[in-house]
Amino acid sequence: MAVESVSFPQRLFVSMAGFAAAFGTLALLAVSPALPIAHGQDFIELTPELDARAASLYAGIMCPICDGQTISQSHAQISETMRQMVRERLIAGDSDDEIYAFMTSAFGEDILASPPTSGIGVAVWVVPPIALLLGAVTVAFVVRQLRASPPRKASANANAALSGESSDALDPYLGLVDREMGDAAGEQR
Amino acid sequence: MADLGTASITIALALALYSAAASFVGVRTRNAAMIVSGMRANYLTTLALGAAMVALLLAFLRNEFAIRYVAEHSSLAMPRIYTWVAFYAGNEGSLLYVAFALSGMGALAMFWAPRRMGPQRPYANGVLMLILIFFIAVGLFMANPFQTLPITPADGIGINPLLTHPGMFIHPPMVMIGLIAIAVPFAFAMGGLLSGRIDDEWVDAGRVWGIAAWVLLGLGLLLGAWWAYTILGWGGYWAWDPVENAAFMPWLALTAFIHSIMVQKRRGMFRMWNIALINISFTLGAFGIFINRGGPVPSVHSFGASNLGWLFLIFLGVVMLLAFGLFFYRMALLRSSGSLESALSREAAFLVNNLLFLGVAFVTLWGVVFPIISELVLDTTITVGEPFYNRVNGPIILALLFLMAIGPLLPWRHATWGSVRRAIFTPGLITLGITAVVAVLGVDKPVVLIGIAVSTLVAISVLQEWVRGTHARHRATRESYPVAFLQLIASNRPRYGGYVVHLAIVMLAFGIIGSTFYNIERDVFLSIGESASVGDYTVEFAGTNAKTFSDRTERTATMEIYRDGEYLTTLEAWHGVYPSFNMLSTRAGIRSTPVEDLYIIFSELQPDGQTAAFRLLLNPLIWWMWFAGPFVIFGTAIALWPARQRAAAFVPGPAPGGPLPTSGVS
Repeated sequence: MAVESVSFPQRLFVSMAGFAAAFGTLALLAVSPALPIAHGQDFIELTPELDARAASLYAGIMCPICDGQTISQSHAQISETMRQMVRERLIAGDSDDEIYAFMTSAFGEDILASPPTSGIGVAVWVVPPIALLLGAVTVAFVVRQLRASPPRKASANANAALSGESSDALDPYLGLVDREMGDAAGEQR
Repeated sequence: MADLGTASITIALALALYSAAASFVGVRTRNAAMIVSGMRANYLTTLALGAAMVALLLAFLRNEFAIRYVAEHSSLAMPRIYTWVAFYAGNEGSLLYVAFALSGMGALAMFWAPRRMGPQRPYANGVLMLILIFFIAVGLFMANPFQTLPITPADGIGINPLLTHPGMFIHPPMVMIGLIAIAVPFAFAMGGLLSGRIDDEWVDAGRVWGIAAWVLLGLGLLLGAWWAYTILGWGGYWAWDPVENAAFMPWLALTAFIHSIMVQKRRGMFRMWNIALINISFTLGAFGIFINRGGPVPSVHSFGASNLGWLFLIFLGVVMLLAFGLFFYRMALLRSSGSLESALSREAAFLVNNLLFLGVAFVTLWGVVFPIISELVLDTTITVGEPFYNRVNGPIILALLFLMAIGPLLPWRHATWGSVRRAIFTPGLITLGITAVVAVLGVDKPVVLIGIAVSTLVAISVLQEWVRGTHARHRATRESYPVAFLQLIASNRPRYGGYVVHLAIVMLAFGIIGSTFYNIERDVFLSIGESASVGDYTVEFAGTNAKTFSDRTERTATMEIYRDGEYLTTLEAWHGVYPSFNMLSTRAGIRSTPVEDLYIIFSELQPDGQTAAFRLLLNPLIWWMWFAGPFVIFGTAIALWPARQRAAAFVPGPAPGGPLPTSGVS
């Protein structure tokens, strides 16, 4: 059946994608990086200082056609072109912000690896600290609660766990250490 | 082979169905024979799935291109050694592998389950089998690797060249087995809940299998990083890619779990919390498999690409609903038997540990899910990439490192400020000294100094624990120091094994800090004979040679390396062009030392054959990341090594108070 063989590449891509995605290589499959790029003579070489800035800029700009890869990671042709554009702006003396603005005006806001700090992007940044704070409050509350409530009569099981096995608190050698260190808490135990 | 394979999977499905039914019915009707037969059906399922695995391997080895999966993922030109990689290169094969891995671990877990376990064991088996049934059924009905083609092609399509790397032999199966292994501790927890006997009996099995899943997944992630570093050719090892994150989140939750479960083991506390944690871990693990197998990344639109995505999503939803439903239903049984005596105690430190680990997991989940939500609901595309994760997770991870230094110094129950001060004094002093030296040597970034200080503090406090313990033991027992040291470790394996893993984490931290903050990157374009400098090194492009194979053209660039003007070594940077995949695969030339890696990517050669683009990187300290791997394994092995007296305690007779006389049989 010809239909079957036609769907081969597509199926191959689908099944490979599921697998390869696990290793962040989707883009390598989705694009065609193997074609030689005719940038040869135009290639702009930077000074080490500018190269360092270029590297951090590359890492902040996503390749628009390769899912989830920055232009630093991607071998795609468009990434090479975009790196070249960044280098041109660097040579021209632009600041990092100017270069980001230039690149987003050319390729759209969503090429920024870092979510924007305005509009809906704010939610991305604001929610984690709030969640963490709520978590911290919950832990503090739980600690208070656990300290306030009298312990349920310890089950035989838990007692066994404390006496039968070498619990740290009861480890004779560590106890000895504590005593040697003059640890009052150690002696109370 | 095709018929044999399909038949084996069908038999496995029938056996798993029977095993689940026999376990549940047997335990409800107190029919011991039925429970035993359910267990045996579990073991047989593993055999049947093993037969299917062997059938598929043989089909690959015999080039049976009549089988669609074989035709899609291998070819006559493929070196035989990559058969094992081709095996799971697609959905069908990897689902079979996942089912086999789950089944194998499930059989071992049930076989080794403490005999004193009463009805929890058949319940746990039933839960495991239900999960397994899902994977076998999907494999059989939706993605059967043994599906045949109407005509037999003369040759197959071949294997994706990116996969032809030694890292591929273990990394993907390790991640997959790690993700699915969480089902085992989860099943024990559910078994406990279902049986309504939720004392601490599931804890030992849950802890052991939790740690097993943790180490498999962790090593899988580390191997993935290593693979990415050596072959993906961008000089990095971790990109916060959605699929990486999907495997990272369950690992974080598991890390919280294997710490927190110790509190229940020792103190009988956090019973509810541990169940909730293992639920979260398994849910995140299922989410990881879902994202892996045709999930909605990187865009919601790829849902259409695979019909398996929805199935996994439904599975995920059902698992969550049932697991948390059961949890709330049994909540009343889960009261703690111990109490928290002080906020300054190891118990409390573990709580903070859990908060921080889940914090990192939440941030990561938020970063993965937000673009999906924003695209679905608001129709705006937003990218959440590396800078977000680094900036938000970075500080939390630093806090975790700090906790890792302090936590182990706190005793159970309660500490006094005085004892903490004494315990932290020496390590603190040494740390300050080392940090000062590092600062004088020219490290001036505050973040880096904090990172180095905190990591050093962890290492020194672990060493102090060892020295103090060994010394005390030597004084008390007159054992020689080496014997005392080994005996000390043997006296509390979970703790001292954990310390070894902590040291490995410190090595990882050094590698990450060095390569993140002090890497140097240069893009250069060189003709033969020209050279470029990176850091103290000068790299000369000495020449290339090319070899053409049936499926690829391989080119090697020979690079002569000089440091401070003196010849050091010669590196070969490699790349292969695969016309049929339209793909470039690179393998960097790397000179790796504990101080720094010199890393050269040969990206492309101009048609004239004389000039080429290179990326040159200096990655300080990255060597330590790979060096940490063996320590993780070693530490985990110590922590998991069964204690002699405990093993003996399992042997005698029927479980105390267990209503079922099944204990001795399996």
